[in-house]
Amino acid sequence: MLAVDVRDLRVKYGRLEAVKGITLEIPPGEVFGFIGPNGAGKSSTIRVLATLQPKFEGRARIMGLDIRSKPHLVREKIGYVPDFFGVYEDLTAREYLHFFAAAYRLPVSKRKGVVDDVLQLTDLTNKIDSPVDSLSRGMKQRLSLARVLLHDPAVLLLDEPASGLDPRARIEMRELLKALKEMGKTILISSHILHELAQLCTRIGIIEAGRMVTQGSVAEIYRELGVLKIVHVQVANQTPELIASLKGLAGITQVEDQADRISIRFEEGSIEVEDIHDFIHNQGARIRMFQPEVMDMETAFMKLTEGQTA
Amino acid sequence: MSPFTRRLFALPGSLGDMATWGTGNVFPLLSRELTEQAARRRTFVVRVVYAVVLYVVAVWIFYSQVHSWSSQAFNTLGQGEPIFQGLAGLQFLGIYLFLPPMTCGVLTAEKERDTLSLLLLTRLGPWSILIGKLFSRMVTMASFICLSLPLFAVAYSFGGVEAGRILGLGWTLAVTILQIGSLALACSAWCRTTGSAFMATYLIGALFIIGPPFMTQGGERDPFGIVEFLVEYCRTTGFAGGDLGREDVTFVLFGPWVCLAPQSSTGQLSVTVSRSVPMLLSAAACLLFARVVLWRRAFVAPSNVMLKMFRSLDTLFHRLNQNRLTRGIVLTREHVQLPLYDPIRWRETKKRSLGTTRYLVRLLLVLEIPVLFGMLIPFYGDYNSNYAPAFVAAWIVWVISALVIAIHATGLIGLERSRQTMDVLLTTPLTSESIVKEKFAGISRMIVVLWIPLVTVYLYQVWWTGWVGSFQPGEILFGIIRSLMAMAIYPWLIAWIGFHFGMRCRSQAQAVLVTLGILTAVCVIPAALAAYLNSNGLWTLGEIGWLSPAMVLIESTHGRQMFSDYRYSYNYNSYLQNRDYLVLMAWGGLFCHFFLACLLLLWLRLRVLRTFAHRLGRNDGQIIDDDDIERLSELRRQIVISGIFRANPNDE
Repeated sequence: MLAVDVRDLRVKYGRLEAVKGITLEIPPGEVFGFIGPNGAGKSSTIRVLATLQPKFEGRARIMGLDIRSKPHLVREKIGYVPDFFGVYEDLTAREYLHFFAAAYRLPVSKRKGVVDDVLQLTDLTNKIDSPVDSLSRGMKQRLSLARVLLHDPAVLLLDEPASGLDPRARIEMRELLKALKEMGKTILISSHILHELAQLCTRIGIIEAGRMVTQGSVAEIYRELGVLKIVHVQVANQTPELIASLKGLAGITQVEDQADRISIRFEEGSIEVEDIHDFIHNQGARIRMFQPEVMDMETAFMKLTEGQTA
Repeated sequence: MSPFTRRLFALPGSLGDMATWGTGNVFPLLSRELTEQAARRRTFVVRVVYAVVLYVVAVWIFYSQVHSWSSQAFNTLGQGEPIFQGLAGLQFLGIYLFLPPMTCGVLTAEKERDTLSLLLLTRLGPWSILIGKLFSRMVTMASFICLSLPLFAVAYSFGGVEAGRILGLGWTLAVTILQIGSLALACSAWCRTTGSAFMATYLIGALFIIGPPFMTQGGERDPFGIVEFLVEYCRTTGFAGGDLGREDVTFVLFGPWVCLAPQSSTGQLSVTVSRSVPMLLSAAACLLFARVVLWRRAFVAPSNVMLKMFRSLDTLFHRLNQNRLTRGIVLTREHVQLPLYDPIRWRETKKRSLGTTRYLVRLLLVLEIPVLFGMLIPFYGDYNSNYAPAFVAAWIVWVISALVIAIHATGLIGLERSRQTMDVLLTTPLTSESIVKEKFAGISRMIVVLWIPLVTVYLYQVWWTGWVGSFQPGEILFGIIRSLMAMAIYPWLIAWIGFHFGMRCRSQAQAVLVTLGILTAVCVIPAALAAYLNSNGLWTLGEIGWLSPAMVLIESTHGRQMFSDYRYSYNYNSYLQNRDYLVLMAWGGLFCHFFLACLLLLWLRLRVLRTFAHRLGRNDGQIIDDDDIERLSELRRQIVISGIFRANPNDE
């Protein structure tokens, strides 16, 4: 049984068709990254799955439950974090979590333990009696995650959870999501920051103008598009022979001798990054810097959405 | 001249830039605002509504005037003055009703959207912004006024109206638009939200326009000699025609009085223009105020007025409680426990300011103490004739109750929306019905608290009508039933109307305005219609006045009025003959009114519960899904195979 099963989903707002036939299959335990520019239809798709979009065409199921006919059952299975801080500012963190524990009808005897657990998981234990209003944006977002974990949902729907957070809060959020991934949660996470999802997601779907452009693992997308990967290298004893030998290495497409580095381009799957490292080392070069390009998803994204991005 | 003063009086930036921008872009903001308004459907809807109301009332005025004249056509000659007066009054009413809502949001809307700072950072000067915003609304209002030009032509064609009068009216209408627009603009520059700017415009407008004649009792009380000085000044200098009376001086800021009052109807344009000078000065003062506060109040943080008011009350009560007698006594100590089963009910009654016991006690004391003092007044005055305090107190308590309930009810959804917590709540397993019902928990408590001062007032009325006023038992019973029914139904009706529009409107301020507008319309329109029908002798149709809650409340404060209708007050015999009919109509009207109110209440409640999910974009499911259809098809196939029913030939 699929955790998320979407078939030919279409969402219209008046005359505007925000989602134009998206199909999506996410097995349990997978972290699926939903990437697209603003207005691409990410939030609309997630809102359908969160039972917040009554009018839509196509089929959408969560854990085998049809969203159109059994939204009340679907709500028990999902945890939804919107792209804004949906927190009551007149409550403390403890009151806020107990409020939703009551809303999710958790047994009264278990609530205290569950609240303590989720606070510990989100590293907010020391803020338990702080007014929600006084928490930082990062803490509020972690509190939102704590909220959706109260009823132990099978599927987490996270709509740009890291938007507006500072770098530290982003890293904390990413680590928290990794922990949830290890707990076996199925996570559908949207973002327009590509490299964040590349590090976290098992699969990625790129959405543009309401259509799914492509989906698969990061490596599959690279392979499908024939996107070149880049490694930037600095060596202490650089020689022309080293450049020539690199150019002759099987799988390498291009070697560029720049002012402060050597940029080596190769196709995904043709050679491993580790092999390049070993080759340079074996040539007797003393490696000062070895940096695979982390932003190459940007290239993939630009290529996929060429001429369509708003 | 200091730099600040130089900046204050500097010419609009756009005027300075005219050479570079060209004359077509003297006020770019004005151009943009007019284009935006022209693109909105609302502009045309309001204009059509204004035109329809204007022409319907104009036809009514023409009809009533022609009806009052004899059948000879010559008698209509020279009768244009009443038509002119009626139309002019209508235009002033239109300005007072339409212009503040149109203008009070021009700057507050920018503040609410956080776009005012961007506007202030452009090359546009403060005066350009203010004048652009003000003129954009003035032009729209002027276009409304222009709709009446054909009607004034008709009034002029009847004769009796001089051309100078029409020109004077045009001038006064323009000045009134400038005056009211400037006031609304100043309030918009000062306030943070459109709702508060709207309220401030009407309160300050009422204070300055109607306040002077009210406080000086039409110019009779003049402790500082200001009225006398102004009258004398006009007489000696000949300013404003030189014949201003004491009452005229107190109404100098009120456009209709300047233009239409009998003393003002000289027909000379110059006199009307000179009399409008105070209005122009008030407009200038408002514009100057707006200029001064534009920057200073541009980045003011949003604040909860209700919360501030309650905090002030808190401080006051704490101070009052710290005395030798009470020594800080605590009557109710609230222990906020964590929610167990009904989380929304818990939050509404334990955490929201108007739901907690502590604040409800404060609200009760604020209302009850003045009511009790008001009830004591008759004991120190004319014992028999002082029924007025109970009448006034009932009205004040009802108005305050309606305001508080409307604000609270519209905020139940509006605040969730503005804090962006609604979606989070809607994804919980709580049913839509339980969300709505739990949301009403705080309002229920508040309504119970508001009943206490109302019961106080009505008990006083029963006592007065029974023991002092010597009313008949039937009349007293009638008054009691009306009061009880009103208390049982109206607060809930207001709450559900407020909740309904809280769901539909984008902001709470808008919802409050719509709710209060509807309540006012429901109170005023049937009463006005009844007055018109009665004045035309259509008394049976005049019973339509029973639809107005205001009429019912007036009756319930007077008890016996329905049994002694004013239509018969001049003829006691006629009254005696029709007494049974009046009593029957009174009870029938009462029953019909509350029956309709109950129906409306039930319908609203049902509608809110049914449409809640749809309005808030929640998927509440449907009975049949794809699987159900498959299951149903399979079932039908089995039934057909079993031979119980014949298969549809088309299927085969």
